[in-house]
Amino acid sequence: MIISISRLIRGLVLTALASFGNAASAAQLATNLIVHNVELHFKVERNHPDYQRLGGYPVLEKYNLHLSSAPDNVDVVVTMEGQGSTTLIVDVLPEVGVTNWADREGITDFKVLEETKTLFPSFYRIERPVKLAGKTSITIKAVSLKKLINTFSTNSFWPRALKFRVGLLPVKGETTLTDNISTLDLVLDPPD
Amino acid sequence: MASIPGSINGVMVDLAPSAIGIGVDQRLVDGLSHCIRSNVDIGYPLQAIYISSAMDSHQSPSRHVPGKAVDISRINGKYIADGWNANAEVTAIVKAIQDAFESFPLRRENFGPHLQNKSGQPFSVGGHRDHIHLSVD
Repeated sequence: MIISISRLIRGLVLTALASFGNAASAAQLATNLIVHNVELHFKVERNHPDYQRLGGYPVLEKYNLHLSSAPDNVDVVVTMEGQGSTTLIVDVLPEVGVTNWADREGITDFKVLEETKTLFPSFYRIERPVKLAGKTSITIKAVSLKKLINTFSTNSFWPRALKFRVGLLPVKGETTLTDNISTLDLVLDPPD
Repeated sequence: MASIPGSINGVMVDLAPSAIGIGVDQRLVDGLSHCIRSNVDIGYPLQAIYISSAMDSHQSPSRHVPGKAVDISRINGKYIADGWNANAEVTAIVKAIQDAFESFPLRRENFGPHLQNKSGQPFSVGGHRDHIHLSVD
């Protein structure tokens, strides 16, 4: 009987220690911030001929006038997870090339565009304070693609891609930072 | 300026919202009347085209700006991007439209998956796998 009680106590202690260890791991995990993914969405009006096919708020996978996916504005939707207060940063880096529109009546020379495209530093940045308590999504509304494109197209250049770089500033106690960032590359076809 | 008719030679013409109510050059309408017709292909009837851009969404020196170019992105409700070389109906009608436009006297640019010609001569142009771009002098 004495032996049984001793075993029982030892078992309880070990269980408690194990639970404490799990709780500690969980607490540590909870401090790690994660950006799960980044999506671009755009609004389609109910009277648009493609409303039935696209829905009212589709994901923008490629910018293309001829596929009814060339909106003036997009919403950047970031899904993230973690605990505590931090800052969400969104940078947009353009990859820009020469079109030769002047010599070709506005028809893009794709060979030249691909050969000359160059990744530029961020030319659009958003910083937004966020308070995380688990998994959540934040929407940065109405980023003007039209304005971003016109920055280059008015001088006969074309942004072949816009690279959305998203990050959560790390908080104290994080043990890994690779999950704090995510990227989305939007390819843009010139209208031609 | 002329306007693009809602129907050309029995073919329904749908316009992208950005192209609705915007005028174009009469020669462009004449060019469309030349190559858009229900029997343009002998195997498949052409019932509808979708114009994704006319005198909109482009900037100078594009021929869209003076209303002398138009982009067709769907044939009988099907995207050219999806149907070219994958759907016999789309492929045949795209070929037929581009071939027919080549005989229009005022043709200028005829760029699409089938032909890339400028004023009747081959012209090096990428893209245009997802639409037919037709322009006039």
